[in-house]
Formats: sequence, C-alpha cells, structure tokens
Amino acid sequence: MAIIVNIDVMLAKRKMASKELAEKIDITLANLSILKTGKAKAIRFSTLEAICSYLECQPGDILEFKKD
Amino acid sequence: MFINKYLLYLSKQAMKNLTLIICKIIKAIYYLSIGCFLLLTIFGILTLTNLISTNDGDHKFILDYKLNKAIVINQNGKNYSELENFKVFDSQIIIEKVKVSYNLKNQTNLGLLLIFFAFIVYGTVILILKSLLRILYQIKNNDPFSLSTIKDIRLIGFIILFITPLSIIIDFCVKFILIDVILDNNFSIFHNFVYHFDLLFLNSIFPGLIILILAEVFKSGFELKKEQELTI
Repeated sequence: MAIIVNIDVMLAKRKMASKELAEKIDITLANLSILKTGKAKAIRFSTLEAICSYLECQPGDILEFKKD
Repeated sequence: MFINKYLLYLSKQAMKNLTLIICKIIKAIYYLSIGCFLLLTIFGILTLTNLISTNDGDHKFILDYKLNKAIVINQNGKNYSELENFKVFDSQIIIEKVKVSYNLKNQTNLGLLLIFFAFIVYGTVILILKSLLRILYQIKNNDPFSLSTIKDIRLIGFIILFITPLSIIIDFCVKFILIDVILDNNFSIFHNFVYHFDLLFLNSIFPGLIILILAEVFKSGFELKKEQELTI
C-alpha cells in the first residue's frame, strides 16, 4: 500500500505505549496493531479524530503517502 | 403484502429458531439417507451373492394389441409385469413406458452397474445434506459469510447442475439393458430401490444455476465482510 501509517513514530515522540492509546481511543489492541502494520483497508474519520485529539497532532503526522 | 411485512419484521430470535428447526429437519433427513445407503449396500451385496432369489420358473410374454399392453406371466398364471404403451415398428417392439423388474441372479454385471449408479445417487444426496448442515451450523455461529459456506454452496450447485445429464445417462443405460433382459425378468427389491428414488428433487438444471448465482452473492458478501472487518 502506498499509504503508510506512522502511529509508531508519534507514539515514540509522545512516549506512550500503544496499549494506553488503544484504551483511550476505545479500540482493541488487535485493531491498533492491524492499523500499525498496514493491513487495514480503511480508517474511519471518527477513529482518526480520536487518535489526532489524543496525540495532539495533525492527520498528516500519522498518515504518509509514498509512491510504490 | 402481509408476507412482505412478516419477512421484514421477523425478529432475530425468530430467525434463529427457524434455522434451528430447519437444522433439525435436515439432520433427520441426513441420517435417514445414510440409513438408506447402508440398506442399499446390504441389499446389493445380498442380491450379488444370490442370497435373495425370486426366480420361480419360466415366463410367458404376451402382447395384447387391443389393450396396447404386454403382460409377462409366470407358470402359475399370475401377472408379473406390465409393459404399457408399446409400438410395433418394423417388426420390432418399441416400449415407451417400462414397468419391469428382472432377475439379477444371472446378471452380475448389471447388478454391479446398478449398485454403482445407486451409490452415485445416494452419495450425492448425502454430500448435499452434509454441506447443507455445515452451512446451517455456520449460520448458527453467526458467521454465514465465510469461505467454507461459499465452497459448500458451490458444491451443491455443481452437483445439482451435473446430476441432470448424469441422470439422463443412467436412465438410458438402465432402459437399454432392461430391454435386453426383458423376457428374463423377475422382481427385485434392489431394482425398486434404485429406480423409484429416481433422483427425486435433484432433477433440474435451473436450481443448480440459481444456487451457483447465490454462491457468487455470498462471495461478494464475504468480501464486504472482510473489508468491514479491516476498517478501523
């Protein structure tokens, strides 16, 4: 996929564990790991909004486009 | 109109109960057909090993042109078989509707062939029921759109699609052989078993095609479900 999810980087910057994030934005750890490994086919705006508001960043900080 | 409303507002619990009832019915039919299969095997073996013998003397073959009927009579004068709707064409008798039975005692090859056909028929029925049961279990477990369901539906569709040409071939073969042994006929339980079943509800191409289309619908449903699961 040409879209890369950089949640790992943002979590490292904020010094947070992924478990904590999963609990705060109310998704399961399994789903968060699907998102991190790039297996996810789509992301809901509500999920994106929750991640952005909790990590205090822009969607552009999380998502990145790279040509194959 | 009312049915439409009823179908729309059928609650989830009611649907589940319906599924359970259908599951039970199909389970019963499944075990019944397995029983028939076993019975058939036993009868087949018995007829092949000459344990069941119903041959009792010579037979007369009488053609009645006025009644358009041929009667096979045994020595006691009792009616044995009736052949209806025969035609005489170039001094050959063509029989359209055959209601005959015959003796398998001297026809080991025929017996084997009939056993083979019977195994095909009952085997397909059992296969269909088994996959139907698997689909119903999947519905019970709230996972109807799965790969195994699609596979099962496709299997059922293909079986029903290809059973029609097969049944025509079996029909042709059996009639062809029967005309040969018509004068040497006798009653056999085994023959009744094979022929009166007559592929019952399987005998059509249209249901097969509809079921194959249904499998495609399930496939697109499965893809939608996968996408839904991977949306976070």
